[in-house]
Amino acid sequence: MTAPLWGYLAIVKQSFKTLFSASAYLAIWATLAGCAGANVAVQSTRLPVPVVKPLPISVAIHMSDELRTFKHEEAVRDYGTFRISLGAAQELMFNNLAQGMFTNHRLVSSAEISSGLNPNSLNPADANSSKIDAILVPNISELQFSIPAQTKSDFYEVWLNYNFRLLTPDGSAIAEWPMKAYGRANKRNYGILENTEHGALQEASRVALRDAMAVFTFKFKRVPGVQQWLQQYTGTEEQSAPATNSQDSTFNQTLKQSGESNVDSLTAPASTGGAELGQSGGYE
Amino acid sequence: MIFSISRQFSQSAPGSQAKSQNRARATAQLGLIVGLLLGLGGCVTATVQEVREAATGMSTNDSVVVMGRAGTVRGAETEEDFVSCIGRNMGGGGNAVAVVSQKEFQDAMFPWFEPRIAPLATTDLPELLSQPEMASRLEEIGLRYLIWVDGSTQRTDESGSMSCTITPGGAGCFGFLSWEHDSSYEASIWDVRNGRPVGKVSSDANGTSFMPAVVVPVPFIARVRAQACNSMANQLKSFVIDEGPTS
Repeated sequence: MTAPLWGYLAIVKQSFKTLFSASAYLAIWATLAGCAGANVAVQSTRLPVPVVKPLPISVAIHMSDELRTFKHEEAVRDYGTFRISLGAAQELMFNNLAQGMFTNHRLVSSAEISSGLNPNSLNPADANSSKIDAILVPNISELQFSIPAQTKSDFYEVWLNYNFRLLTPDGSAIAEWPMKAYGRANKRNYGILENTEHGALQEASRVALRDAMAVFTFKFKRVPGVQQWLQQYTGTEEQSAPATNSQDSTFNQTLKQSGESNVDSLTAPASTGGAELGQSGGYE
Repeated sequence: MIFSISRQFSQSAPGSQAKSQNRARATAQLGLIVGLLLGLGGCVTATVQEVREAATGMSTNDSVVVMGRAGTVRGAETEEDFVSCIGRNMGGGGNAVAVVSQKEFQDAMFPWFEPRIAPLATTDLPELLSQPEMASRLEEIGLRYLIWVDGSTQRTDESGSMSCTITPGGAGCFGFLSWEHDSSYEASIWDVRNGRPVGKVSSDANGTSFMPAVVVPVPFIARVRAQACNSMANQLKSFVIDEGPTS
């Protein structure tokens, strides 16, 4: 009777030694990981072409060097430095966005803009290329993020503030407007052995980019200035195209139900220093 | 593990052989006890209800998609792994149906089912899915039923206390903890081809997990969400396959 009991206790003791050392390693790892912050880059994944009726215009999209290399770096007290790089995903994002939204488009670099675009040819390599109707100039003016420790929630969140300018081929302004986007990822979707900080923040950033694409898709033709300008291309077609109007009404309806009648009213929590993003206001 | 210990001691001196056999027996007993405890787990009570509004059925090329309630700013959302679990269970086992993953569907229908844009109720779907661009895309992926899952699992109660001590000589815990989880989910099934709702399946499960500790804490985990998922997935599978009474 004594021997089995002794054996049991020996096994319990051994188990605890193992548990103790494993716990110690885990605690050290967690401490280091907690202080390390994260270095995330959103790659060109899952930024699809919108399923909408394209607008009958040819648009050159100016991908500035600043946009192509956009990254945000911020130190969060007690949680380390966080680096979020979105530049690498911008080309695919705007290429796919434009593919769904406009009949013709081409991404142009700063160098091409500097040397001057030919307004009569969207694509100089193509002899049958359409003329340029407008130049779209996107820019990320601000990025903010929060981690669960800051908001006492389960979510990693990312707010993006884009600024858009729509220009005529000769450079005159048609419209200029800001646009906000939001993405979040639930930390509970990541296992204890996964690098939650990295994975969730990357997912939140990617969701924010998708949100930017979604909001741009629906809001572009309703921006004051753009709306009037578009009438010369879509004026008669808009009246005979219920699908486009139906898309608008469905979009408004769903936003209304989700309590977000204005998608630009997103505000980063003040605890993350994000009040400014909400204060800059929307274009409506 | 038990085998290797036994063999190792069988090669020892005869005097220590009895001792080593006892040790091996103790290991086996402990393993058995732990196995039994883990196997038992906490108790879970699950209830599944079904409301059928129209006949259903699937042909070989048809597929379904299981969508979770999209998370809005500071809003609730259905757990991603619950939605995946439903899809996985419907796509496996007997009478498996073709399941399009939520991610694939969201990409194919982008941006209409993005978190801030997706309709919160199936009543908004007819107008959305009737648009020509959407209808043709749905035809491409062969979608027959859209299953919209809403709900979540919450920890509703917890009690007890436990204290653990670690010293250079060893460690141990004493006490008793218990906690209760409550899962409540409702799936609305939409017939995409006929453009109308065909029914709802709800799954409620609750269970109490507990963890007594006398030196070693032994958890009895009630797998509430897993049970809710299994019940709902099985019911959904039979719902979409079976012919029901027409309304």
